[in-house]
Amino acid sequence: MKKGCDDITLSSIHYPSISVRSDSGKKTLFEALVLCFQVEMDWQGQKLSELLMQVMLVGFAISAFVTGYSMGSFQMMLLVYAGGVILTTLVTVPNWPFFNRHPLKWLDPSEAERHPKPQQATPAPSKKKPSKTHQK
Amino acid sequence: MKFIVEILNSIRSLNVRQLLSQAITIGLIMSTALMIWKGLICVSGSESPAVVVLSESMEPGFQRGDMLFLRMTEEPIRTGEIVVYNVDGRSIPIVHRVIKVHEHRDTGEVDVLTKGDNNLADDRSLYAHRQLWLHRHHIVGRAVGFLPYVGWVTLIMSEMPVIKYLVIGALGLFVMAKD
Amino acid sequence: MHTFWYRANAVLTFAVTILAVICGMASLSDNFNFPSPHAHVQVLNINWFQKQPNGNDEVSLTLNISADLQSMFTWNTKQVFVFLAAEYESPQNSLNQVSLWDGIIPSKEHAKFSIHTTNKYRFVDQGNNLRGKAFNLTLHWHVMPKTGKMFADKIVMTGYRLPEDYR
Repeated sequence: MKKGCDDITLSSIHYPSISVRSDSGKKTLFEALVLCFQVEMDWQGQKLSELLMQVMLVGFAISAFVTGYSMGSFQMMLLVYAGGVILTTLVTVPNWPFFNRHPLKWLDPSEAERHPKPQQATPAPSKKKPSKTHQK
Repeated sequence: MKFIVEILNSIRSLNVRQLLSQAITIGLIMSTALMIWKGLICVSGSESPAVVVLSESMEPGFQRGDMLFLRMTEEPIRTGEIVVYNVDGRSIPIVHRVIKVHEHRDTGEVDVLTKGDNNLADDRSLYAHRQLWLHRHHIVGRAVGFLPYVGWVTLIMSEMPVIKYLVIGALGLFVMAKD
Repeated sequence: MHTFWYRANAVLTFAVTILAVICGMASLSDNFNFPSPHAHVQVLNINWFQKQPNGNDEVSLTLNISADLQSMFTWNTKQVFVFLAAEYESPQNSLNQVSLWDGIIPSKEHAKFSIHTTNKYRFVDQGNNLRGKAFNLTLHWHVMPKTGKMFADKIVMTGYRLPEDYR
């Protein structure tokens, strides 16, 4: 019973709540959007996001310059670049699910029980979301 | 609301060592910015290597909020150049175009008259009382390049000082709240 | 951990830096433009030529200025500022430059023009040296870009002379 509680406690922090995860493999756009606000990206996803951002921005800059130069219009270059910046922001900034394909494997609760945390007198407050105080 | 509580918590938990190291970080940032500014002054040869256009007297070429890059060389001042000059008694430099030059044979000194492109009259009314001409020592630099819209931040901060204090206050708070 | 705000900040900073770089490249591309301007100025009439109460000579001219500056315009040009200056020397001054007329050319279509005008700015000397003076008329232009470096150049036209007597 206690183990079940721990399960739900841990999963509510790090994993999306069960109700959103659909039965079929593919998620609808709405579900993807909801997921964006619930989870942070994993490490591989962050690397991918940063790489994508740099590549997309530089690519759009080059294509904007070439377009503007060949068309002889400065305005055109700025418009293409602005569009590119907006697209890049939409793709790399929110937590899309494809950034979360290598989620971290947290320790099994039974494993954690075998290595109890040392008791400290006054723990320093942490900046991240406080780990749930589950009473032993 | 929760955000503010978090910031307050983190401020309460600061100790002396953390404060000092953050002070050093701020000091580093500020001295780097100062070094870059002084380096620009050296390279451009002018006291103010970059200025922001404040008035509409040079429209449509330079709009309010554009940033101008200045250079000062030993070359003589000639008509058509866009110069930035200080008038005795005025704190803000003026960016206008030279329309008349008279270079004296014996001394090599120049008498210069300027006018804003968008103004109807020349700048005599802007010079000090009874001053008819500008001289070389009034001129701070020649405009050699410009970037549009970049100066708006400075413009807003100088016209509404409230915003300046808000920005600095917010930055300070963020630096302290960051770990 | 890279949060949402961290990524948004990174995108914005990088985008602005890259924008500055492409503006710089646009300015550099102007260097590959080799303009070939033409200009011709005719002094149609000396309207009057007098000595002012303060002792300085002043002359009023009617000019016909025609020029073709179309090759000056690139994709990065905001406007071309063009002005006509009279240059001469005098006993006290090794060089005198007086701007007689200026205009702003906003686009390539207006760059080929021919105008008939009196001098917009007063042609006044520091002294009374203008009688019989030979002077050059120089057409200067300043190309003001949308971003970046400004270019300036001129065409010197020689052979003009003021009359010997006041009129």
